[in-house]
Amino acid sequence: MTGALALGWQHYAEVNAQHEVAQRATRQSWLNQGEKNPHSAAHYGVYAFKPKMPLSLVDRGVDPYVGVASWLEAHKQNEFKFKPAQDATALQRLGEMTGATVLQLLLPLLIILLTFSAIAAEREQGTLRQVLSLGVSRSGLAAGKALGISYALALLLIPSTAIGVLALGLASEHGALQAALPRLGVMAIVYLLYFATFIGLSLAVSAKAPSSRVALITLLGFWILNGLIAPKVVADVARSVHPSPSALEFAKQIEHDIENGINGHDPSDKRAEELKQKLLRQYKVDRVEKLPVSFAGISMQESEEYGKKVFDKHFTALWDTYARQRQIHEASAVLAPVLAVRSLSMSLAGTDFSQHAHFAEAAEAYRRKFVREMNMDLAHNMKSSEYSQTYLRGRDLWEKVPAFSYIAPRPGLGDVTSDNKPGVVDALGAVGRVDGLWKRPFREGGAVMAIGLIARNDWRNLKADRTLWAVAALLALTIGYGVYNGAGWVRFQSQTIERALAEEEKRLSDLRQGIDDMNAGRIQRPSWRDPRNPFGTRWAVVGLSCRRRRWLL
Amino acid sequence: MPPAPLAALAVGQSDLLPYYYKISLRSRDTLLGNDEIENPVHLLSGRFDLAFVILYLYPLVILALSYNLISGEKEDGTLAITLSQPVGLRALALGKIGFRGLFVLALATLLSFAGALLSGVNLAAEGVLPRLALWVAVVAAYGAFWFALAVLVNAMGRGSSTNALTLAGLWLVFVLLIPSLLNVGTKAAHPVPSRVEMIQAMRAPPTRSPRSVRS
Repeated sequence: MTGALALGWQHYAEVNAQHEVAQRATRQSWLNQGEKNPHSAAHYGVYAFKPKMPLSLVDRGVDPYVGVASWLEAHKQNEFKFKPAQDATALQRLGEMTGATVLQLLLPLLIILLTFSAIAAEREQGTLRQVLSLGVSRSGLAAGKALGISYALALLLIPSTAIGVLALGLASEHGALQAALPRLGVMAIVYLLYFATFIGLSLAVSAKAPSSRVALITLLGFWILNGLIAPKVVADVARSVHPSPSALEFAKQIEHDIENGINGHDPSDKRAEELKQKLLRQYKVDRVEKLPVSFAGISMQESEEYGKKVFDKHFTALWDTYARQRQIHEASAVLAPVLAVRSLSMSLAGTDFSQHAHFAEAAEAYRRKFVREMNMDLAHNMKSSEYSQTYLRGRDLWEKVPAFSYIAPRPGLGDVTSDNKPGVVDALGAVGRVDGLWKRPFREGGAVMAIGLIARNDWRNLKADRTLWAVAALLALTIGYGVYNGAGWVRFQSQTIERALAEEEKRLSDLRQGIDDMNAGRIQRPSWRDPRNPFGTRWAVVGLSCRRRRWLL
Repeated sequence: MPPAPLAALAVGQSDLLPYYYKISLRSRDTLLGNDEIENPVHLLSGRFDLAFVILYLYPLVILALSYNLISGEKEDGTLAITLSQPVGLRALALGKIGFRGLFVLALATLLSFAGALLSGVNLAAEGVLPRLALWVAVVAAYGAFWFALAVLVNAMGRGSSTNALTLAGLWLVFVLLIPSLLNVGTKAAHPVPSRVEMIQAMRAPPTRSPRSVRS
């Protein structure tokens, strides 16, 4: 635990320092980009680097699986690139030793190992009857056992929590610790509840199981189901109930909406023409060249405004899908408490997806602002007759754009709890149910004991072949499911590649058609939409060797 | 990049890395790649594929079958009876483990074969059969390791429940702890060059400002 926290602290400090340097450097590149046309400058753009949250030293959350940087440039809302997990070895997927791993996976195991024999062993040795004959109530006994285990856990946890808080104090400058303390407190409560659930469950199973061995096997089975299997299976369920689009599909739809209009009746050519007519009317001139403002600048800002609507529509839809998937995760927490705890812990640490989305939104707002600044300069200062290659601006304009700064949401609690109500309720519900569960067997203790004795012998005799069948069924089920899942992913990949190639075919044939049309003079297009312009793009499927060289080495 | 013939068996890192690139004159489009869209929480959980079953669950099945290989017989009192026959302890252990091993291995290989066939793996394609054979060999070797571990723990002569706990602990160490510690270790020993620095290098202003191009 201490080791995990120390590593978390080192990682946090390193990454944060890197990102701060980078954010300053990208500002410098922006300021020192030299003389340029403002639109070229907008294409050069700036990068936004995601800062690390202080509590990420406890729970890294989805940080390794979302990009660290986004390129903010004209026309496009880019996705975040460079997921740290992409640069890791395949070991990454077998788990990371973080505070969250220890708290969510290993400590419950420790609890199980401490608790499974608590009542079952007393029964086996016959001491349970003695203790009960002394007038100790059954619930009193259970509470005492729970207290004893909690005490042992406290001995382990309190020092490491203290170290954690200390590390946090060291890691954070200027008062981030005070700000993070309330969240840390809630996090501690969440984890304590989680442990309480496990203690309650272990005691219940220990009381009910015919022998301590059965108790152990049952509990270990639950632990594996909870920590290893449930997150994956629930992800599959969420994915199939609320599928997210493929990257290709997503990009295509955005392109389509920008080209043909959100409602499909508003193609970009028509929008440009309408804008032109409107400006000509407004300034009472008959040709674009006579406008007192630059048509290029205004039309680019106009298309930027239209792009905003399209991006908002699609990104909101995608994030809504993620949110609905998350609801499924949280609803499943009734069966596997780790899902509720993971979700709560990530939110509290500021490493969940909504925190990422918050940063992405801030970066996008900044992008829109600085691109607008560039376009407006073009619109008001460049003459309509002037060529873009000759209208150059320098540092004075670049300095007009303020540096990108991001303030993470105050680490208060309101937003977290309102986000996570279902999660909290589920977690509490789970505790409550377990609470009821472990009281019941005690009331029927005597009967269970008698049945337990009979069942134990019976079970032993039958065990050999029954385990065999159980094993066969388990293996068949899991292998079948695993292969089915893998095949689904492969099918998805192949289909996407096919679609990309088909897309590319279509694009090429459209391009050929366009070139023919332009050459024959059947259509007129501005130079930047001329299909003969070499800055076209094309899709391709690359071989493994090339990909290896670039990404794996 | 089209999926490899046996990709259905193990998703690995393929859900994280791009499998097609957009090639264009703008070098950045090519270099930056395009990641598949996926809820990051799902990436965190990973996929439930055959490799997961073989890595995590298959050892557990093996351990559940063989944790009380000898100790169980000892506790039931059948060990002494069996050993009074002309059977050595070694032969007994080998026989028992052999039966279980064959059972589990046959099950695992047959089922993964069947799964691979059902998921549309083309056996006739070049290189598929050797790869499948290698897969089976790896599964068998991995299973053998866990059986051997169970025998080793049984040979210590402790009781069944101690054995079960020991083996569960070893499973935890081998399957969860060592990989995640190695992950941390490899990152510390050979850190990947920072992507953030790469971005900065890519953006270092060129010596001569290019002619501005509208697009």
